[in-house]
Amino acid sequence: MNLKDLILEEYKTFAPQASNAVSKVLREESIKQVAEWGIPTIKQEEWKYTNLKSILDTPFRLNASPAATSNAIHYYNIDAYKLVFVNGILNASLSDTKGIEAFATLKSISEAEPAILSKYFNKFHPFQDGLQAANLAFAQHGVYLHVNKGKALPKPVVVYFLSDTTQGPIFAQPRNLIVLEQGASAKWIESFQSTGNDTSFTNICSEFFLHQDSHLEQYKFQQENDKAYHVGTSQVVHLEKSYSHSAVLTWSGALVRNNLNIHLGAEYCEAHLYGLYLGNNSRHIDNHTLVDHAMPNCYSNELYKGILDDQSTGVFNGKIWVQKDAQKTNAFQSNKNVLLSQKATMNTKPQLEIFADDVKCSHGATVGQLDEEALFFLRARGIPLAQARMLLMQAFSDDVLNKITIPALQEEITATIAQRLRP
Amino acid sequence: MSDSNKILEELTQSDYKYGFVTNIENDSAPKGLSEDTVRFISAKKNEPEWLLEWRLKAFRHWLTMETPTWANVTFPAIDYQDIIYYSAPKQKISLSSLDEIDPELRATFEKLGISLDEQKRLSGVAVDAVIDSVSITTTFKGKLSELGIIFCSMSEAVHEHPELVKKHLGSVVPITDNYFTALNSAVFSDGSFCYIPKGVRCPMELSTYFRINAANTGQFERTLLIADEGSYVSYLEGCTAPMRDENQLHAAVVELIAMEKAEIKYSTVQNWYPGDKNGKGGIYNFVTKRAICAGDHAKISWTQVETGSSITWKYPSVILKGDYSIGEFYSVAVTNNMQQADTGTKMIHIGKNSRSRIVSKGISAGKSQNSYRGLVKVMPRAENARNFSQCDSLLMGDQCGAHTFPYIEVGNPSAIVEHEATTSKIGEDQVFYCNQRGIDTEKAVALIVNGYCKEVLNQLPMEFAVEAQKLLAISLEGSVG
Repeated sequence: MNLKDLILEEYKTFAPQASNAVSKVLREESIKQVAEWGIPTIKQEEWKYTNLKSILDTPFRLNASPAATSNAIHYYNIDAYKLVFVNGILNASLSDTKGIEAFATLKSISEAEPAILSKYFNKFHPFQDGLQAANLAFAQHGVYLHVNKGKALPKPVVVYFLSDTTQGPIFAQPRNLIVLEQGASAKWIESFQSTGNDTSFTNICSEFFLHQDSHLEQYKFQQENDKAYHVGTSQVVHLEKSYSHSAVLTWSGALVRNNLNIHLGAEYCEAHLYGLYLGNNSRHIDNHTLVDHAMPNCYSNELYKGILDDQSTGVFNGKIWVQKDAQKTNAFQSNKNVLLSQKATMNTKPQLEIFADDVKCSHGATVGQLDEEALFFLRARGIPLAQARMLLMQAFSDDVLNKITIPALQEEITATIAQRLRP
Repeated sequence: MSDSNKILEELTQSDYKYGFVTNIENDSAPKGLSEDTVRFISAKKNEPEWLLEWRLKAFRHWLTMETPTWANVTFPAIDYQDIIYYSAPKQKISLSSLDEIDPELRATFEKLGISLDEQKRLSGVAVDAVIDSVSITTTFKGKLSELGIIFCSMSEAVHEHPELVKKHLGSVVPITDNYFTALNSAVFSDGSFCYIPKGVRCPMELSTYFRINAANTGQFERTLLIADEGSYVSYLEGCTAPMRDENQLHAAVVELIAMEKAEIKYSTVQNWYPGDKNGKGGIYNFVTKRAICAGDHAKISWTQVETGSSITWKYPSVILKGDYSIGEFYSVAVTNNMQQADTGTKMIHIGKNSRSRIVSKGISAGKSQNSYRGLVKVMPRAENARNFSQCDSLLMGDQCGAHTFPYIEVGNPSAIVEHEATTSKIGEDQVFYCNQRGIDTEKAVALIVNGYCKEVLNQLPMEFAVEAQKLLAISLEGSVG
């Protein structure tokens, strides 16, 4: 049975006990879309360079929640709230949420305050495909975080998603909703890790809703093993004068697809997007971003950098939409890539679609290699070639690593990356 | 701000200069497309059996294909049965001198500013004039043949140089390439053929002038240009059409082949009728242009100035097969009113040390949509491939759109690929600067636009650069604020 059939089959057992996080009508509609569209293929423009075909026949289990394996998780050495998901399902005993005022699971909030969900849930979906529809059809495992007006969360929230394949291949579909009220601020960190030797497939969606003057920082660290497939969508909806800062770092996993969609839905919003991807072996890393400038006077800035070695493949697609009303838009985008080996491939597509005239938009994309002259400079000073290359690659990565604003976390991730770049 | 708005409004009102119709008797095929139409065209042109087979193969393949929809343009479905696929101006059987050409025809070309008279030798441009997809005449033939250069219509070439045509026709753009090439291969009626022998530097610009005259016709011409080892040629192409309310289809195929150390410079000034202010009428320009640098050190340069057509959909491409080969693409695309353009280029790097350069300047005004769509592909064996792309968009007015879809696929670590793009409008500060120095707003806008396009216009041969600049000026005519 292929993945699509597995999803359809699983839905039959899931439907009767589904929560109201998503209305029954919407669930039915979504599952119909899954049946119709199937799992995305390279025939679709959005999936042109990323092929999921090789894992479609894996006998995934869709509702696997094995015993908590706390020692399989690497916890970051920072002071933070902690949430642990194992195979897409929240594990309360491993989590530590003491002190967060408004925190619930999607399921419990749909029972307690259905109005909240209908206000914020699933409000922005610029692209639809079979996987996103599947996530929506099954949405109930995941967290709901609400930061009240004027409040700043005192500590960052770190969410660990563990794929435990010790009992066979798993398919997990968490979905989260984060709402920041007026003037609120929060830091949200997603970390993907795995244990076991079998294939895992995570199909996650996180939605962020930013009210006026709110401030969000969100990070995504991908450090699963070489049998992990990951398709993740983060959507940020901005209201007036809100600010978001996103950084997506990928240095492991078999196939990783990160979608980051930003909707600037009111004036004077600001969004910063950063990405770093390190490919080696036959890793495939795909970053799709969208900045949708719907209203005037917004600012967006995007920087994605990648280093690709061995037979790895990198994909970057950065869309900037400037809609008709979005005058006085400033939008910048840059994608820089280094290819280290003969068999590495980079496919990049920076894409601007502009319908307003009073705008400043620019994008740039480069693919090249380490600077010969810089290497020569270092070697002339007695630094061996391998080390000189590493230094240059570290410097290349630092542009993005420096955007991690939590010092202890920055240090730890920088060290991990340095370890990866060591010859 | 209101000034420039007014300018833009007036800009949209400038008229299409070439919209006249010439009364020439036509010899047409009946409307519609079937195998019979293909046979009719082939028979009409007295073609050899292999070409008919080739056409039929293309037609049968076309039947299995679907209209592509990926381009960023919208138009109602085309009824392929409502088009006349062959229309030739009726004329006396054969021409020994230019004087025998139908005076109406000659007048047409005079109006277009193209002199077919050899007296105008001073202008030094050899012209192949194609009206309603049939080549009318080719000038300077004798002089060119002294050098061994073959420059004639495609139908002539089929008869006189079948070995060259057979070998190269469809070698760069195969009949199965896409929907419109399959259609073109099945029904193409004429076009230009050019062969430059080894080591010859073509002493003059070669030029083809295309004009659609008859109503309800589609123009399907085919150009094949071969530059043998070490040769050089500069080739110009111009297009106009009468103003008509219905849309007319132009689906041409251009194939260029450059052998070792050969250089081809191909320039286009495309000024098909763009439709009226409300988007009624106009030409659908769905053209496939592709070149191959077949040998080492070959160089191919595309330059295009696109001002016409209601829909432009074309991507002049270069396959850089030879080592050290060079591909260039310079483009200015102006869209106004309801025009839509989805244009760009493809640079496929196969050879080592191959280089390519893309400079694309889009100007959108009125309610038009202007897209750049490009592909830079570096194959794994293309060591040290180098590409630089720049695509800028200039927006005039708040109703138009500018879009960029650059695809970059790099499979070799020694390649260096750079892409940059900007989008902006004419700065008020720039206009103010000019005003301050006594240059009125209209002139200032023209000055800025001209400066913006300079990089591309400079690439055009002199005769064409003048025409292109005039064209840009026409677009800006009457735009005093």
